Amino acid sequence: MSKYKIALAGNPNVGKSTIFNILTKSNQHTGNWAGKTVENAYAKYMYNKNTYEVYDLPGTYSLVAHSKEEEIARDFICQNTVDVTVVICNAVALERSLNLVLQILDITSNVIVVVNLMDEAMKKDISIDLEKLSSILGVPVIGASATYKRGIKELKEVIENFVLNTSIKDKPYIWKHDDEVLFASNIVKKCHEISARVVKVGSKKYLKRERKIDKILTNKVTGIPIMLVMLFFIFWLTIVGSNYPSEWLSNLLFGFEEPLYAFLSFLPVGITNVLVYGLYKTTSWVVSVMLPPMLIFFPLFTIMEDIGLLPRIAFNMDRAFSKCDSCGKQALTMCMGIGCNAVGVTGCRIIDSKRERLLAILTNSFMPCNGRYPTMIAIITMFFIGGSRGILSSALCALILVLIILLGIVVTFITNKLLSKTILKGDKTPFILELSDYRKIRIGKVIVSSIMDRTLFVLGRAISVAAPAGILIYLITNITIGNTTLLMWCSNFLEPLGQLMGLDGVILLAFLLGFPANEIVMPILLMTYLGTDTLTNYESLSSLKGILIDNGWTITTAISFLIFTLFHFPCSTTILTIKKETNSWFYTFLAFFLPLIIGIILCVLVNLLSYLF
Amino acid sequence: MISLDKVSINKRCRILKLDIEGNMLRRLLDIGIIPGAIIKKVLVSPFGGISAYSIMGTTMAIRDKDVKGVFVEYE
Repeated sequence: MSKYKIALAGNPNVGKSTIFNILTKSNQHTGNWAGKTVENAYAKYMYNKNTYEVYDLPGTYSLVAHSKEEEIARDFICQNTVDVTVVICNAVALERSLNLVLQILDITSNVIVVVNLMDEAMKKDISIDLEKLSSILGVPVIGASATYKRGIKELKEVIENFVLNTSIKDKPYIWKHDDEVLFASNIVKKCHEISARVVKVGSKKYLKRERKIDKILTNKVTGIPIMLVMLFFIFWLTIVGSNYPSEWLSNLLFGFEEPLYAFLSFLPVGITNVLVYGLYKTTSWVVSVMLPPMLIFFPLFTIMEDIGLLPRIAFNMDRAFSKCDSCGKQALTMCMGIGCNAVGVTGCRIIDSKRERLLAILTNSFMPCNGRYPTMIAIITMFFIGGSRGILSSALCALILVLIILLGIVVTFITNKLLSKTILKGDKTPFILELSDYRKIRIGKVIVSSIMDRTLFVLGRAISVAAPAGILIYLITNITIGNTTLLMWCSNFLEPLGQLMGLDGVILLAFLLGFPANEIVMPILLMTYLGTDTLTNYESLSSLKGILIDNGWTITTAISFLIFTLFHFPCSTTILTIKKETNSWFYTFLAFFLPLIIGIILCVLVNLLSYLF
Repeated sequence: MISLDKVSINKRCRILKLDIEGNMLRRLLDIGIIPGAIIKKVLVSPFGGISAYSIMGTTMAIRDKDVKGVFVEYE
């Protein structure tokens, strides 16, 4: 029984992560855009009693490094500590992939080449002579379609054969080329020659079709509206689809409450109360409000990502980013933020320049994440469309959500510009954005992966926060100092600021207590208003609206509340991620206070305006 | 000889020389923008400022100001 080390290298977006996932049965996030693997992933698999450690390197076009990730990939290969480097190629653009293959072959001969996306190539009438390629390169070449799990078994066999029969490890290699243009030119020429010998392209019909789609998506008149309409439909389907399931789930979970209480009645009354009315109630609230929208939103979002729309969005919006001295790839990280801000912040690694990366990190929370939509949808439905649930009113609700996102985008641009003129001065740095081919998606796979990767992750995090928070809230609503509960003390303290912003002390306190996860803002709010020591059931929106109005909510409160939901402070997970990514307390504090100050200013403005009318 | 940002859309061009230095040069070399290679502008962003080029079998978007030093001729 032996242990072998394997590195997976390849251009961005050639299916490296997919192959990694199948080989090691893990679930790294995959998607159709260049640069989504930003962290070095590592996992093992067993084959014929041997252990193989697989390192998934960040995608790179060449070993001439300029960004953090590319340096990681190059150093890893140059050190020659692995037994074999598997280079994944894109069958649809073999010539490009060969560039990296030849550069790696320059360093080590312990290479296996996998030509992935053979299915896509076939669809596009491209055929590749793998045997010939293998004899030209002098290393094993395997064809694969990782999405359909084809070629993986063969890869495992070839890897085994390779490591068992090759004992020589190459020496560490020092990367140095004096004339870079000459070095690159020679390799590019070779790639062209080789690909001319092994690749046969039939009709170019597919190319024309893709171009046509691109023309429509990036057209002056249609480009931006199409993207907004798509966003609108994603929200609409989410709202319509999760309407009733949320209610069913809530009834189901709250139905267990009394039996659970009876079951736990052997415990002291105080503890049973904390567990059932604190922990269980808050958790089941979060699950019933969060789970249905996520189950719809994440698969839809993943489909958009997998088809290859994200780079087109970045391409369309680039002018605006350029105008405010930031990187066009920020659009990609903002899209990721719409799912989860912590993911968006990590994604900012695709931006090479430190200054532009910081801009993207500091403003990522201006994109509302999944933890905030349910709250926003509830408030919009109650106050702006009369609480009815018809198709039209849910469409109106989705439209308002799109407008909120547009507000987030506009504020992102303004903030980018302001920061670029003050503490983050500097020039725009060049970047290259690959507009990856459109790919067919497998709905089944999308649903499974978006539920596994995203829904369970985000929900798990929300629950793990909601549970202790539930206990905490129960305690502070029940511990009294003098005649007032601890909760009222705190909210009274925040009341003046809340009033100034058109909100109240309770709302601000709810946001503060919701720092661990935005999902629990709403339950805290209702618990406090009701003054009862526990949370109400999630009955119907109209009854909720009644509670809010009884506590002095007006339309201004609702507007300010929506603004503050969009601009307050990132949740604790995101803040921790920002600290990790920036490695600076200054920027972490800035990331906390920047949105907060913007939110306070906007809310105060809305409040002042409301007095004028 | 014209600079890459000024070429017309959908016309095959041959790259003549790169008048660029440092990081951007390496980046362009990476994706196959080298003297002698064939390149074609295929898309222009709705608001301008960035265009997409077909090079080495893939589509790459680069801001216009970053390719001012890439000189080409129509084929």
